[in-house]
Amino acid sequence: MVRQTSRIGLILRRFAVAFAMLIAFFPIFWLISTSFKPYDEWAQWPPVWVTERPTLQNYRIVFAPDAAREFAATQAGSLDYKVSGSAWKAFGDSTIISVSATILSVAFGTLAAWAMVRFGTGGENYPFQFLTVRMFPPIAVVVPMVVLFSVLRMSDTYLGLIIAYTAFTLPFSIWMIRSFIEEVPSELEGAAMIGGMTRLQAFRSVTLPLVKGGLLATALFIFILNWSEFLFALTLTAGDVVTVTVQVANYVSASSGKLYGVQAAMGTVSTLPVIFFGYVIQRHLVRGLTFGAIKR
Amino acid sequence: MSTEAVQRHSGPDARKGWGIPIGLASVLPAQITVLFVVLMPTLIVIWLSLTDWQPTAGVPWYRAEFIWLWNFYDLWYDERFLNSVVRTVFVVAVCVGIELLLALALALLFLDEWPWRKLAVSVIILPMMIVPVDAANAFFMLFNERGPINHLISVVAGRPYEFSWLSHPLWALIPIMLAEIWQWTPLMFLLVLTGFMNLPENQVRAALALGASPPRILFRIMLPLLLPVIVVALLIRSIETFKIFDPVYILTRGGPGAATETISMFMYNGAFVYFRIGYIAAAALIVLVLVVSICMALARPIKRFQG
Amino acid sequence: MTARLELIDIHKRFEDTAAVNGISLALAPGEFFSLLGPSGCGKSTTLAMVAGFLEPDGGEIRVEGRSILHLPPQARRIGLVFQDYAVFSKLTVAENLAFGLEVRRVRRAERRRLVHELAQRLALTSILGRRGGSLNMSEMQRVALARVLITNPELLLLDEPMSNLDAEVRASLRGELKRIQQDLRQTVLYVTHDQVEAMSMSDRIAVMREGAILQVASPDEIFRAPAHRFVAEFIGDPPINMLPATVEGDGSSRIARLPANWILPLGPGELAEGAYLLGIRPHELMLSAASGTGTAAGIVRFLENLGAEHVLHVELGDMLIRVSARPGSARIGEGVNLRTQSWQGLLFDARTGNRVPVRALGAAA
Repeated sequence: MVRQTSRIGLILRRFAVAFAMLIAFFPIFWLISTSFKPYDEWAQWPPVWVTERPTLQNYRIVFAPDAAREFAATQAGSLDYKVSGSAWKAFGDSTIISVSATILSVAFGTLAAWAMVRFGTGGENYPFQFLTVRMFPPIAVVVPMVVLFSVLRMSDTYLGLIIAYTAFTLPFSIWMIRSFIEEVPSELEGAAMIGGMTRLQAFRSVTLPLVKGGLLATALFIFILNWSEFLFALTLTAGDVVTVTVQVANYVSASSGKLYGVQAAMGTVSTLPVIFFGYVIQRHLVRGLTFGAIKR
Repeated sequence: MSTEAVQRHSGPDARKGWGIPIGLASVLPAQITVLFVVLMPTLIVIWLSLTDWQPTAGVPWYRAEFIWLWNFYDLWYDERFLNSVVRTVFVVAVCVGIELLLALALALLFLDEWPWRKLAVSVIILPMMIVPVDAANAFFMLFNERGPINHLISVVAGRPYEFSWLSHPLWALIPIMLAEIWQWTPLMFLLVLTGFMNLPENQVRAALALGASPPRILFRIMLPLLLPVIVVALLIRSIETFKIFDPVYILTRGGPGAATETISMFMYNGAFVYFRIGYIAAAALIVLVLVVSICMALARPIKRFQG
Repeated sequence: MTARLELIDIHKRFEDTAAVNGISLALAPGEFFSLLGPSGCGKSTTLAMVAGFLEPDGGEIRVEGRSILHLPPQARRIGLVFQDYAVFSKLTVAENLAFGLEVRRVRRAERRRLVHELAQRLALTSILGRRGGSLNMSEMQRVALARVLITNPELLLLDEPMSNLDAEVRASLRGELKRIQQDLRQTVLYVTHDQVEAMSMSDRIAVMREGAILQVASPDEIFRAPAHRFVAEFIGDPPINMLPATVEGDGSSRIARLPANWILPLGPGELAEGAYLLGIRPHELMLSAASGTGTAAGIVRFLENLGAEHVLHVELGDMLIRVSARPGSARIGEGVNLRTQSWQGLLFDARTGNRVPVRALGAAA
């Protein structure tokens, strides 16, 4: 657009971009780098930037209880090492909860979005009602929810977190899917209905295939939110259910932060799936994070 | 937000077999879920806020002592609570402001095409893909007294520097805000860049042909056109930052003392460390009313603005 | 202000296609000059080179005799009006007009005076306070014009400024634009693919095809004496009929033999016997009551009702010929006789497409 005239200006601009890339990548580099450091390099001064003796020990401690016990007995004797259980459990729990909540959120969201777009159900301002959910600080809802869940015997269960996650991602799924459905002309459904289909059949066989890609993007986006969620997972569980974020927090706080290598290993593996999915739906990120307000 | 006219096609045929309109039936699952997780807790929170219930006292929550509005009275004079509110507003203003400025500056570097542009965008948006807890974890290590930040400062200063950022009452907020800014500037960047890319290109060309300098084009032509996108971005980020919890919990838990307590952290500590549920419920109610009324006050002008 | 523009042997290649292939033009001061041609003919590329957004591979562009090739767009004293007008939508009309003056650091009082002066001439005074985004097409066109005119450009470039508009709006904006141009005596280079726009507004037209200029002439001459069959076919509505013709005989008894045994006598001229293309505009044909020499018999196959007149599509041998006729003069399926009426005598070389000069000897003559 604006034409570049000076050569030095161009070089400075590219340099600034490179610097921004460096800043963006550095904390992640540090996380990954630390995850391969042997025990004695974790807290060395001056800090080791890239270890010359890479080890997988940290990952073993994260995943294998045996390695963790052995580590606690031998090297971390002085450290307050309390984290029990392997990361497998956290990954399993997070997967179960995130996948279930994602499916529910997208299913409910698709139905609601369709009704809003095609029937104007609830009126013009109805979709905003769902947005307000996103404006609530979750902590304000968490306090009574802990009470409510204990009454319903849902605290520290999969079901409790699944319901909470579903509700708190519904604003995203409804608004995002709404913006996808709005791009499909309603005449297509109308034509199918003239051909003898019911409304629901017309939706299923005409609109749904057309927004399939959008639904998938929405699902991945919501999966990312669910997988990354921390506050609900922290307050609505008590050890029976452990999500990856809670497991990370456990490592960080277990020993007032001396288990750098293990922390870093857990941090690295827990964020990998999210980064992967994030890049898969990179094109739709803007739409998702602005509730469909800004499209590409 | 999108205010396109809603298409209406409800007719006599828009009904299911058992007489519920199909539109209503379709929004029901979503509506019930939200009511269950938002409305019920809100009712409970109203009740709790009028009691002094503490789970450790051995009385079930519905039989807790009713103390009228004393919780609210106490909160009004609770400096820790008021400080957390002021601190949160401060964090929102500083973080979102810096995020916007950085995002604008970054986006301006990406207006033309060059070979590794796509790769650069992908790397720069990496932070927003990270699980927030892990991002905070990384910053926890970076700002450790024996971490790379202190190392870099040592190298520049030429003498060993082992400052303990996270245990200093004043400076501990810096790593928290930096983590927040680092993680969410990419989102702002992506929004602003999308806005720039969708600008009517000929208006920029016309300004150029009229002889305007790049800064004048930016401030007179591009930024005014970009304003709706900027408002959406600011709003979304402000709402999200207002809820800030993960980095505070991981980095300081609100400490040292209450030096880095944001509203969310204050309420977490009150409810899950000191178990003063009734008291925190009152705080939660205040925050809910505050947030909802701010949003309602903003909704009308923004809708008009967007339209 | 008004200036002379010269383009001398301009070349521009994109990869391996020649977008502009050696064109030369000279615009007189105050002239309304159109570049007319189908999309991809190189007219917009030419305009972009004059504006300075593209650099020619070869050739010279001069304003008032001085080369402007080394100048960046903003240093050329050229006003550019875009296809979508590109009115600054967030600025008021007054701010739009003042923009170019602000850039040139004209003092505030002077700016106000110039804005009001020009606003008056272009009937913008009543909308000076409105935002660019709220204007209609006619207002946008005038704002876009005023915005560049106020900077006193030596040359005004307009890039298909009406292609996004409804036919109705277009007609009224054409008149408006021409009036403003005459009023200000501004040199204008107008790029369009619409022959009606070019014909109705221009002093002269350059018809372009495949990066080259086929003819530069006044609208009248372009219509009456097209230099090439492409020009003849591009100009005129309804379009011209092109018939294969065989020229026979010599001297005064020369004839053109057309399909369906139609024979037209030709006037004197340097003309060899052989195959040609003969152009007859629909208005140069009429229905004839009598058959005989100089007429052709055909059957009406379609009929376009244009209100004031009908365009008959008459089957002649294996061709369809368009004929303008008064409403009601023929019905579909009816057999009719055609003869020429004040035919201009357009004859084109069948191979090169160039026009062959020949005097017409219409059937009436």
